[in-house]
Amino acid sequence: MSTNKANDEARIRELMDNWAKKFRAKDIDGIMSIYAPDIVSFDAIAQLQFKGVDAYKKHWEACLSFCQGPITFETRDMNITVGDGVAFSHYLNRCGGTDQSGEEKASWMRATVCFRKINGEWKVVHEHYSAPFDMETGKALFDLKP
Amino acid sequence: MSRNKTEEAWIRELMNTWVKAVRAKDIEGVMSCYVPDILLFDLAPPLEYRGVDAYRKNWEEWFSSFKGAVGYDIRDLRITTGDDAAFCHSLNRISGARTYGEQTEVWVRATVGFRKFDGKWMIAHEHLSVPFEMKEPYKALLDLEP
Repeated sequence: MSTNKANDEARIRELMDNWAKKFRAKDIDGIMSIYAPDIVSFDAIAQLQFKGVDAYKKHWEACLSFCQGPITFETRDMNITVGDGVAFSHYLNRCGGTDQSGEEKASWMRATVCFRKINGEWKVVHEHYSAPFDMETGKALFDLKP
Repeated sequence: MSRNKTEEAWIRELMNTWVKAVRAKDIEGVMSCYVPDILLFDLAPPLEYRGVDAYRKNWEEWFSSFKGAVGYDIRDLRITTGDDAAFCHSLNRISGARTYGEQTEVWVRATVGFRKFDGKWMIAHEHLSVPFEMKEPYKALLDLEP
């Protein structure tokens, strides 16, 4: 890998690490700061897609309102492929919140995040979060482990 | 991105080859699009598949669950390319009569990551999913339309 690509990979990893901290802190402006204005998001819940930062911000606010207590968000196996101004990454994440009795409700999910370098800065132009579902019961599966 | 129009055209052609092979249940045609160490997140468990051998088995089982041809259409395909990394996302409609007596009609979200491998674009990552409903019993949303 060229030095430039290694640098870009390190910058993307740092961006995603910082973003995870902002997510755990429920910092909506911090969360939104990595997205390009024309982001297309396939989130784990509710709709097939969210187009543009305004629609996505509303969705994020709704998501954060589901979580009364501390947020669980840890990532593993982050793999980043970097090209010339274009990159994509995939990883597993354990994501969830805390219910009213204080019990953690979290499950392993999958994430793919796609980037473009815009004015010298890496921005997320697309992301895709999901849980697999049981083909027989039609229910999302929250008890899978890597 | 016009400066990479040629690369985009190659990716579009690869996706056309892939979708034609899926419709024809052409397992060799589908597998020829993947890098050996593909990592993918599919609709059904497990959380992830690693490597073409595991994925081939999955495709074979999936193809055999259709009585006849597989209906597969890709819409809203958006491709972003760099020199040797690229990604695309789309909404894909899967349809057809299943051997267990049901008719499948579902829209799924697809994100695909590509790497240039010996001068040829190949699929290095796939993420296919449907969102789930954010309330008990957390059903996968199989009747959403774009």
